[in-house]
Amino acid sequence: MTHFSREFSKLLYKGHRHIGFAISLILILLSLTGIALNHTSELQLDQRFIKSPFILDWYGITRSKSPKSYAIQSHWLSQLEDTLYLDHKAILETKEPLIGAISSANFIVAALPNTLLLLTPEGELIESVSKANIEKIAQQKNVIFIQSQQQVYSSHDQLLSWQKAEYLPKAWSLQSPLPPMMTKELKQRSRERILDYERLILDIHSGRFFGTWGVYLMDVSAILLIFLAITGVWFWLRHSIKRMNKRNR
Amino acid sequence: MYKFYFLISLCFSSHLWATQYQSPNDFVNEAFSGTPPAPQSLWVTPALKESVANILQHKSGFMRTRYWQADNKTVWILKEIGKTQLITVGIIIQDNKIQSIKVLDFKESRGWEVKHSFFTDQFKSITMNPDLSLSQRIDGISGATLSVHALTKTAKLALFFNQHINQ
Repeated sequence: MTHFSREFSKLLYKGHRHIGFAISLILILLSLTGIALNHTSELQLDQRFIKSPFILDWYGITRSKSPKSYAIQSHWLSQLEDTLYLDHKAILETKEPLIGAISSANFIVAALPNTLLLLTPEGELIESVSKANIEKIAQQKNVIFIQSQQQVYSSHDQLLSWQKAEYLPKAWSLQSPLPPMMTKELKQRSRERILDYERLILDIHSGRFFGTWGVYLMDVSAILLIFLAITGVWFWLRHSIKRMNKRNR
Repeated sequence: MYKFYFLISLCFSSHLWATQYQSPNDFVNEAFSGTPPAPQSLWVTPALKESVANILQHKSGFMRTRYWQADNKTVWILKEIGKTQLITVGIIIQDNKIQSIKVLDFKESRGWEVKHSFFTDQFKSITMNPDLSLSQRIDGISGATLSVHALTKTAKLALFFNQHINQ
């Protein structure tokens, strides 16, 4: 072995040890986040949300939008982003906008442009009824009215069947401003339903959580891992060959 | 910024693929040749809840479902999640056997192959075994496993509900 190759081997070995030590923490982080991401469904990572104000602030997640709310007897049915709330309780997710709500002692009806959601007084879904182009909703005694494409329909049997209305309701469900305290709480709750654990772990895994430099750090770590693998195999082969030569002598 | 693009792409992807093939009303009208009977409702009582959860392999997200019945025919409109979105399925049962099953509304981005008759025809004449399984095996479609499962579950559920109302 020449002097040069001996020095080169020494340098490689030194580099292998130092680099291995330096990226060990990143390797542990990658392994742990990788294992977690492999079991997203079992761990329900996509259904659990980050509530830490620090992390939410770090992502720049703020809530400035106000909820859309309808007063129903002594309660409020509101929508903020894609979530429907009965008072403070998140009850359902929907991409359709809430356009009205009515209630009686036994049920609540939330009107969306193409769906009527029949709910229990506690907000549990009884039935989701498809109905096209709903414009507004009203209730008078036990009769529910909807207006769809300028035509008013009424239902006397809790949304099971609809007929053209023989008379018009006195008042339609109208949006009302939610009390400020409730608005503040809903905004806070809504903020806590945006970032799920899967997103966070994925961002840590890829380095994006730490910004652009985090991604570069992960790229460099990946290249160094390849270097470690190659040098590791090379050292092992050299050592095996040496041992075989010794045995053969 | 990438998070913004990610959210935008998610919003658009679901709308891009959302397709209504037939409205539930049209399906029911067609099933009864234009003169459907009045709808009736079936409540998922605590006694039914366990069987429904067994069939769906999760808690039922509804407490009431509607159906239309005339002579020995019942028609059901049921919804089940494929992967993340609801698939609306219309099922016609004649003499306790599935006469036809049709995908009415499909919002998933994958697995739409289940709407084709080469798949839905497998359900024709199927009945329900006492152990709540289907009387015949349903062949899957590669790449549409979750949609196949969703349709199979709605078929089982319709047969189960049909059995219940005819008891």
